[in-house]
Amino acid sequence: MELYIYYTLIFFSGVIQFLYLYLLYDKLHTAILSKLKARYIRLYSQRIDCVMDGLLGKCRHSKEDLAFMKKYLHKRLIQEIFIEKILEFIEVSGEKPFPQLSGLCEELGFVGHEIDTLKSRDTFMVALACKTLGEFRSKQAVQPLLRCLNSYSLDIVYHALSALAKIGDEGAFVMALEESGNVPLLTERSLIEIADSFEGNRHFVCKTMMKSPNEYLASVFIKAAGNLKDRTLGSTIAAFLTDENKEIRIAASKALGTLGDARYTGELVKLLTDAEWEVRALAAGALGSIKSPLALNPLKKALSDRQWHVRFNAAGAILAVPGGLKTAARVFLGNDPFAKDILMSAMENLRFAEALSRYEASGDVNEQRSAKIIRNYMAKVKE
Amino acid sequence: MDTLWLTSIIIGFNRFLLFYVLCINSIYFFQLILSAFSLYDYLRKMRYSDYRKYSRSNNMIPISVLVPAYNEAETIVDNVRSLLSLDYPVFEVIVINDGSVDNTLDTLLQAFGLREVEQPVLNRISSKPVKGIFRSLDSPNLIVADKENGGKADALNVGINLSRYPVFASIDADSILENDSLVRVIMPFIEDSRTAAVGGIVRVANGSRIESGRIRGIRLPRRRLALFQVVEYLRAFLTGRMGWDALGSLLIISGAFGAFRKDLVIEAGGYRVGTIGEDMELVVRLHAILRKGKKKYRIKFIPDPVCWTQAPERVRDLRNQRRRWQIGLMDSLFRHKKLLFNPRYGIIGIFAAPYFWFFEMLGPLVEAIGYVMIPLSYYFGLLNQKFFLLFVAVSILYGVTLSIGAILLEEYTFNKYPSLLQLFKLSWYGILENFGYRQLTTLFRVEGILRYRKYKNSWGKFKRHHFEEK
Repeated sequence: MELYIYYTLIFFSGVIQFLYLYLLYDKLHTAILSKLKARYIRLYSQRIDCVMDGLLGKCRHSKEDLAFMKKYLHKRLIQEIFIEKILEFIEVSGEKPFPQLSGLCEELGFVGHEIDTLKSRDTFMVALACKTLGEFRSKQAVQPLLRCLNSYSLDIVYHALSALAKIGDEGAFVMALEESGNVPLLTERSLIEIADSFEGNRHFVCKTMMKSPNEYLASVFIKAAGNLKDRTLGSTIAAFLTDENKEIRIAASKALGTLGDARYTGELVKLLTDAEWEVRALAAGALGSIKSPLALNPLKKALSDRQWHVRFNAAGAILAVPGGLKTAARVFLGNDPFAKDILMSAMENLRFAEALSRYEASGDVNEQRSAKIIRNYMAKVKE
Repeated sequence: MDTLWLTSIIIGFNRFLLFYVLCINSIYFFQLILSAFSLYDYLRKMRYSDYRKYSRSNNMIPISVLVPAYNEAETIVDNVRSLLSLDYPVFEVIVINDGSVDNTLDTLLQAFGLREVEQPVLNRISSKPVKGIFRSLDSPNLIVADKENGGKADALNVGINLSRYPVFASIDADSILENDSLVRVIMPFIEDSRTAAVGGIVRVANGSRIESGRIRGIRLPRRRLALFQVVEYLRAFLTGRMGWDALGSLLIISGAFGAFRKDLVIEAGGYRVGTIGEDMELVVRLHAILRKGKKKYRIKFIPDPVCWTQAPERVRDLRNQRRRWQIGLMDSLFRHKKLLFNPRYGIIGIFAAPYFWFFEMLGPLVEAIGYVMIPLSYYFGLLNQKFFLLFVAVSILYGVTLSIGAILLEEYTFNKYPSLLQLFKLSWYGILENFGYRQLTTLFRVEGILRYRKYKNSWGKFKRHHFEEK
């Protein structure tokens, strides 16, 4: 036993010493690397900038600059600096990267290097390589990225799909979505984010994917189609309002709301009596975004819905529609306490006081009367 | 005859203690190694994470930040200001004044120009009545609810009832969040739809420079008591929680900062009223319900330094805090005793729950009895002095290794205390804590065990100071 204790003492003292030594080594190594990197940046950044500006057409980069870069790129640190510069350039410029940049990355061997990395068994390295390939936007990476979608790691699937979205090849992107069994495992938010970041023909992709047999993907792309704000997609989206699947109906309502197209008010109004309360709530919200006065009466009826969320969204929608205050006044003259409560709450939440003051100050007798009814009700509640 | 009986008890206990210490330290050491790998993986993942992109995205999950407040007049305004300026696309801050007897509510009303509004509360979880809801024209995403005193859990339930968004984050009114903390805490929900809850790391803010509710310069505390707690927090979060997370058995998400899926919490019945360990109780209950329902879920821990809190600087406050923690732990474990050694709950029932019962809950008691046994063993001539000294040395070395391991993990990863002086100071306190501080906290926890019945329903707060004066 005593011997065991001595061994333990030695072992743990050794562990502590090792950890300290490793930390010192690590700190030293980092310091040397950053010093070296700073030196390389000082030496080469002008040439790198010149090559980048040359691509933008701001100045002409000479073949010597490029040859010089190629010559030194075998040094890992310089390669890293150059890749960082490119990524920084893409982020700072805020412009869509252009084919010349992808060409340069291919020519300098960066794309090939990252494609090789995709074969690694290290999932972190593969995910990072997918992301970097997305930044380079090189079409050479399409096939290797498609293969990555079979990975068990959701990180890799996410970044491979993201990269394909950035590359913007419609066919490849649709194929990735339809054929990979792993894509539907991604969350809805991340898929919409990827769909929104697609740099090719988004209209085509959305239109194709809305009809996907996978209802989850279809609902995601219906929502993404709404984000496009393209009114020509309105009728295609509206066709899904009568779909059997609840999620698809919700997605279509949401998308039409985002689109703000008043042509579909009637169809959305019908959904206010849907069997599913989530659909009714979303339809009410969408009508609020569309702001069509035609929806006011159905929305007034929805204030008496048995579900709180439907009533809340309907109240918000009534107040969002021009002339909604008059409808609100009629509700306050009625007998439904739930409708009055929810409307009152929406008015407080939406800071409707200013609008009420405007009604009071207007010359319109009807508006003044509506404002007076609401004020009276508010005063009564406060008492 | 009596002496013989006592002697055999002492010998038996000493043997038990030997294996107990060996077991607990082996688990800690295993966790240290596990968390080192997990942290390494996490940092690599951060290199390609899209969290910055999401912080500007319209597709981000909107989040409700719940701030229960009880007698927080001194820090509440700083805290709310800091929360309102967080970098996140869509969020609301809901402060719930739990019947404070100081002027918490008035301070808030004045500072933010709040006025009372008529807003019906959707009672998805039952709670004490809400006396008033206040909103501000200048800060539309701030809501203050004034309610009758009912405890922190009840206040959080009111917050859930008032919240509009699918995920809520609960934070303590005395904590300060990093600017990007909401983005970081929400990323696991974006990445994996199975995510049910996410806990963030809590760091000690004492000594750091704080301006306008933001941490501007990270420094070590000047007071010794707080310095010990820096080491303790690093050990608890970077090795403890990270290790449990790697095993998929995280049982605690600190009340100081955690995010939850609202639908699951409502389904579970919200926070349990009548316990001061409501944070742990909820997480244990979520595990129990989701495992029982055979649902796929994840309860995650993120190691980024996202939340800063004031650690007690007075022994009296530390005593209150530790007593409260111990009672909260016991209460959660007692309420869910069905988990213990129950294979139906997987690793939670087989490993995590027994660990918390035997090492976290009973640990202080075993340690305290151990201290009592030393003079008794000596008195009865049972103490092998050489062996005893070796045992003490090994125990201390184990403890020091774990503390220094946690400190070094922090240095390798987030490096918030970058200078060598800070490293040596922390390491020194990692050694020093074994001589007095550790025994003191053990004593407070034993007190918690003894006074479990008396204090299990209290808020148990300690006096906080104005952040910027610190």
